[in-house]
Amino acid sequence: MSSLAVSPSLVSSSFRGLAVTLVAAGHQQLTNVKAHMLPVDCFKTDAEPGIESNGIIWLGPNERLVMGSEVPDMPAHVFVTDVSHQYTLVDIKGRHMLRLMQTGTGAFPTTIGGATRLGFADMTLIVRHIDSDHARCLVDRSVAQWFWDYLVDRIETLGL
Amino acid sequence: MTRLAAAREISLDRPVTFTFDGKTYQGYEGDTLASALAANGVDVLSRSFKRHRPRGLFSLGIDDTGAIVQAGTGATAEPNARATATPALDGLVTNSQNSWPSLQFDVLRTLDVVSDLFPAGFYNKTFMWPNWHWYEWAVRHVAGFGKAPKLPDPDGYAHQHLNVDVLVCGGGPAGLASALAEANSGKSVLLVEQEPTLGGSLKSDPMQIDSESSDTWLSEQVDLINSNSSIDLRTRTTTIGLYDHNYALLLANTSSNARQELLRVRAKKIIIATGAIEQPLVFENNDRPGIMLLTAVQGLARRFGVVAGKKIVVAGNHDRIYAAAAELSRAGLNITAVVDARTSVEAEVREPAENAGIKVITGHMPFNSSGGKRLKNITLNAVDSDATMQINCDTLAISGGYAPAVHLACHAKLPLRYEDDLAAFVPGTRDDLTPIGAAAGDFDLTHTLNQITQPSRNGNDVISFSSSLGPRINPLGDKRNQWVDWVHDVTLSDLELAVRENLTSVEHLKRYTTNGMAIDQGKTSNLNALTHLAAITSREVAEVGTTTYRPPYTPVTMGALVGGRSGQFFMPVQRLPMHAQHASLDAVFEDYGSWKRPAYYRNGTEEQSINDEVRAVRNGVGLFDQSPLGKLDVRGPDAAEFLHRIYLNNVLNLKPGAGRYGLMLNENGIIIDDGIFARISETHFVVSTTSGGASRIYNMMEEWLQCEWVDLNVTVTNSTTAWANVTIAGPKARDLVSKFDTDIDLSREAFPHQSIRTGSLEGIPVRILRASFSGELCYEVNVPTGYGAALWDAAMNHGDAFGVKPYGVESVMTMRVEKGFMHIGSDTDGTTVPGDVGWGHIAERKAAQFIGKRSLFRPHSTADDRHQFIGLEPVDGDTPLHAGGHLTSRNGKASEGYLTSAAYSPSLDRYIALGLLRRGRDRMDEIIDIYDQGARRAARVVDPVHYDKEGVQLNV
Repeated sequence: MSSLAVSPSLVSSSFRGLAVTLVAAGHQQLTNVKAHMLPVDCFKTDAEPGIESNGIIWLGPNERLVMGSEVPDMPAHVFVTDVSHQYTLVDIKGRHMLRLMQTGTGAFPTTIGGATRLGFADMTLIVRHIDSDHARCLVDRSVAQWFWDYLVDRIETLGL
Repeated sequence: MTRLAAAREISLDRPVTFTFDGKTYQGYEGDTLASALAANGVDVLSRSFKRHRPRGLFSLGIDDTGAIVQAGTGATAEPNARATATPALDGLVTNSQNSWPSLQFDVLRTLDVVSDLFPAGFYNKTFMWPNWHWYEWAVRHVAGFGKAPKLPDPDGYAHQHLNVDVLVCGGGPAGLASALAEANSGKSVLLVEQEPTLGGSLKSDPMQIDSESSDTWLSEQVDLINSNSSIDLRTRTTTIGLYDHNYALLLANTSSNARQELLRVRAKKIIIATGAIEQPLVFENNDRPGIMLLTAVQGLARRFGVVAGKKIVVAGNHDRIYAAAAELSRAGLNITAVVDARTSVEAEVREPAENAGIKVITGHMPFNSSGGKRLKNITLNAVDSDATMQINCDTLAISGGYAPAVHLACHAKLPLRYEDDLAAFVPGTRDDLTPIGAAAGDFDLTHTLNQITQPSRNGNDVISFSSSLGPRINPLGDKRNQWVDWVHDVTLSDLELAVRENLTSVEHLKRYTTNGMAIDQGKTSNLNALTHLAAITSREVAEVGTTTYRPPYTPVTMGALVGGRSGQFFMPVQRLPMHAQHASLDAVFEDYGSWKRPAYYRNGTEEQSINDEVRAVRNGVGLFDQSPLGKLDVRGPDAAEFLHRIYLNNVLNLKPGAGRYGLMLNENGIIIDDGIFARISETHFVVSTTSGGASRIYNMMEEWLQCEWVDLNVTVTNSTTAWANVTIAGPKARDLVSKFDTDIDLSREAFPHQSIRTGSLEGIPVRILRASFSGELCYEVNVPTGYGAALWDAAMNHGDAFGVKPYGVESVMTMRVEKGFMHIGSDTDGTTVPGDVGWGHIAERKAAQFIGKRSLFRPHSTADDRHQFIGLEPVDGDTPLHAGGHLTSRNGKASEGYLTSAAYSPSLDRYIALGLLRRGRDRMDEIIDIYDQGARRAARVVDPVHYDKEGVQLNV
């Protein structure tokens, strides 16, 4: 048991607009799996581009992001990196979720279950379209507060 | 203020009040500022640019050339607002512009009397002697429209990114039918219309569609549009630009908290249904208030219930003027006459007007007008004789035909061709970008609607709005007073002057005369200018061609372009894992790249604070948040070989656990980054890049791996922000780190300088690197980012016993200048090669290839007179130095380099500096001059390492 504790990366844990809510979604185990040539049978069920499958997000031909603590054993040439501390999770909920995402990107996966890495307002986000009114954003921890403040500003400016 | 009962767009039960030039007027909800002012009998709305002629309502659309005002006041004031596109909102304050002391009595109207002094290009010919600057103030004071607000804009703006199957630009009949057809075939459709209501030309100019009135047809279509869930309808939204790959920019005036939104749309298909723009007639004094386009008179009556004048004459050159005049007469307007420039007009064409009791005069054109600030009468001349006649009227509705609005097609690089039947240009088409209806030159609505349901394989058909067309430009009269561009006061005589001066290209003509460069961007002036240019140069209009229409289609506010990305949201800001800790320690934050970092911690003045921090590190121990330092995990069987090609240094012989300072070059041999690379295992390296270079170097490595060295089995992961870096530096650093529970042996023997260890610290994973940018014993303690703040707090607590102090970036920079450690980008520039900083021998010794090697042996890279990295000490020692000062020989004139970094050294108690000096290493101990801000200071050239040359402090 460590004497050091994990600190939150956001000042606030929630913000409520008229029809959209931001929630700091807490800590999640995240693992980056990357290889020069990623074997096709690394996972029992692999993700496809643009889709989340069994907690796996396809980030590139040879790169996946595994959400959750269960990462199968990998061959020696497949490199596994714990990136749990690299990301802050922000949930966007409410009927204006899509409108809020559209302030920064045109690449949001419109299909429920879609997941992708995209550019958003000069940042890189990994987004999961969980439901018609729910998206989860994985944002680099260093820009998480700016991202949060930006979303709050857009919610207030647009009256969302 | 009586309105016609048939007004479509206003709510007579909802009055609004607004002011124009301080006077209060009443309008109704739905009015534009222009329609409300017209209803109140306000004739003069603005003054022209050069001659200050009175200008009135002209077109009622976004192309209006007279209804240009200053809307709003204070920070939200909008200069050059088109009154025709500005809603008459309750409480709106508006003012005229470009007049003094008032719109009605404008002293500068006298310029009209001496207008011969201001022909096209006058500024290239007059006000030159003896010096333009004598006149500049006065000219600049007089020139220009409106006043931009000086206060920050308090309004919000936004951007929205959209992806759709089909974007339909224009909510007229062709646009409505296209949107429905596409939606009914299963496509997602974005339908945009610049006006608040749908209907386009049908709102002003009714007709029969499928044997029913266009009002009925339009109502049905609007209901279908509104009930179709596949159609996203945006009114008050203008397509301002089309770009490659069907990328469109749309400007939306919203009713939400944001004043405007810029929509960034990707569409698989774009339908341009922007209709056509009515063209004016050109004759003497055709700019008088009361002379307006026929569609403006129609729109005022049908849309806003406003009667444009008491006695109205309609003048034109095509068939449609007759039906329009008859329709206006039926609506209750007093149409005195219809004047047609053509001598022969079919009886059935004239019939509607004649049946309405309107006098028809064929074979005549308006020749001149008279009146002051409102038209009083017009003079007509016969086109085939010397006969003239005069008609009293207060309104002249002119129509020179309709030109397809080809602007968006032109943005998208669709070809344009001139059609004689229309006397206008029409656009081509392609599969995913289709002009349709009047925008494509098809003025038969029935044909257009059929075309939408059964598209022709051969593209669009051009069908004219008239069996024949008469001239638009009257060849008689004083050309100095025949306006082509109303806003910029460009007349036929200006065009002819340009041609006399051999500016016969349409592009030259435009720029010389400024025709088409005003707020309306030539929507009603270009075609007439081209036509006249063709006539006076004995060419066909098709041969003359047209200028290129470029985005934006209508003026766009800077706020809309910026969206929400201003102030603190201009660019993403990266915060340190220990940001809150720094704030509580009274850190002074500054921007370093995208990172917000402590420059120093406030403790007296800035200089005192930095000096104290440096002394603390030199004599005790300090804490520094070095988390932004780039951390790239390079892994794989070929990781060593890969980095061997990336770095100038030898990488292959680095043992696991060891680190090495290295340089990276670009293909030209220029130093682009530096830092420690450390080997954790045979197949795993950690590359430290500069803080600002992490993403850049990561992308560079990926590019080499993915594009050039695809055979190397290597992966690179940018884990910069996955780790918090608490750097503990100073003679007591080991004592402090030893306070933590760790399985890493921290002794000098087990863990020497420039080495890396992994293990655990307080039960969490840790990577500790022994590297130093301060020149002191230093441990860079890296833990997963979330633990950074707790580690910092614990280190501060443990450090109490050792007098620990936090130190900021400016203190680090001072210490590295003392140590002569170069800072890439400060002490190097876009020409610096390794030999310039004393690394030439390392490059020469490395036999293997690496990026940039080839370039290091070019003559220029090895020349004797290159700028070399040196240290500098001012001879007097106690005056600050500034980076950027030129280095010269004693009293020399030529710059031989420059000062790259400078600081007061608390450790040495004097000012020191680093620089790049021509043949610097051969000039040790030479006294040179530093020329800075007009003063010279003598300085001695010394070794860059000012402090602890032997590295005693480092290797403990």
